Amino acid sequence: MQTSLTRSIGSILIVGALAAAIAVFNLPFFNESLRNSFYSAAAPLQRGVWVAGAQASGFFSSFARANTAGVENENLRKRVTELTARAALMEEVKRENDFLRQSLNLDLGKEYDLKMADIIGKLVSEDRLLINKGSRDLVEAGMPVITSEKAAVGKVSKVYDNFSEVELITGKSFSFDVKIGDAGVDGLARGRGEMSAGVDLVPKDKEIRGGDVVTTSRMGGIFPAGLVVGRVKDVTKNDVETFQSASIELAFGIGTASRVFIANEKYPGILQAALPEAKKK
Amino acid sequence: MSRKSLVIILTLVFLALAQISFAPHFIVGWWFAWFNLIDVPVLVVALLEKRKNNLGWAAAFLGGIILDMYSAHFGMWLAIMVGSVAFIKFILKKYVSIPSFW
Repeated sequence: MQTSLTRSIGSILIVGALAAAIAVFNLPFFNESLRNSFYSAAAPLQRGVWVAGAQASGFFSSFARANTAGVENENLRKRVTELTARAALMEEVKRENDFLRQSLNLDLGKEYDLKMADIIGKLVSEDRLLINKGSRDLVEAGMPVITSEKAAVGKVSKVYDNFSEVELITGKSFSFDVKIGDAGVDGLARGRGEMSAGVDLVPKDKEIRGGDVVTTSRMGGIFPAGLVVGRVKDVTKNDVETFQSASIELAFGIGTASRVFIANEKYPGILQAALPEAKKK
Repeated sequence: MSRKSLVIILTLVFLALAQISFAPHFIVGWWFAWFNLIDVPVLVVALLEKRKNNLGWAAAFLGGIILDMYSAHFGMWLAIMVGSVAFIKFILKKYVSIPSFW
């Protein structure tokens, strides 16, 4: 009887201690320091595993695209030759510099400071990535994240000392203004979770078709204008609803991605709007 | 530390790495969000270990903490893992009699 009572009290104490520990670890200060230390310890391994995953994904996706295997094989052979030659000449630092230079050739470099970051993981059951740049690299929450091909990835949602979480555009709470097709039809892109997104609030009298390119609009205030979001996939239109909607085939996919850029606006706010006028004068 | 514990720890760390940095390239879907690679060994240990052993609890605790480190809210996975092991242990103790291998 006494043993059973002691065991029950012991169990209650353990559960209580666990709950208290969880509460303490959820305090911002403890939470952020703990996560930053944990990520710092795991990052070197994670980075290697992420790159291996990206390479393996690229390898296996060629099986999925078997109908275009001939052309793809030819392209891949050229690529292998090119990469072998490059690998012989360059070291890792040199390659990173080339990658940076390529990205700075984009117009974005004039308006934005671009910080390159490596993806090291994806959070469990969330549409969020973990990247290896944090507050020590002057990263702030809300900064847009893009790829070197000018595709929208998401925005920085949480910043640690050496790492940041990036909320992907597929996150359920993520929405931003977009333009669709050559006509520039306005719409609101929304994350639908599980790496998918769609566009809503498109006026029914405007025509959008499958294959139309979806680009970011400056109006939303998150991304610079003109970044590629993806292509319209399936358009949903019915007589009852005022607006039409569509799903998007995203330009950014986790599959083979390994690096992203954090864009920091050089001339935020009013100064940004006035800059083109000043340049003309 | 026993050899079994060491094997469990290394397995969980390895699977955590695969879950966070390797699997996202391949697996997408609602089921992937909730059923992950770390669940499997924890539940297997809880099912197969001898009743007096506590390795299942330790595995649930470690697995839960690792998953929580890569989740938005700390504590959710720990509660799910420990709760699952508690449920399995309860069912095994009250209603099931199976041979144990560990």
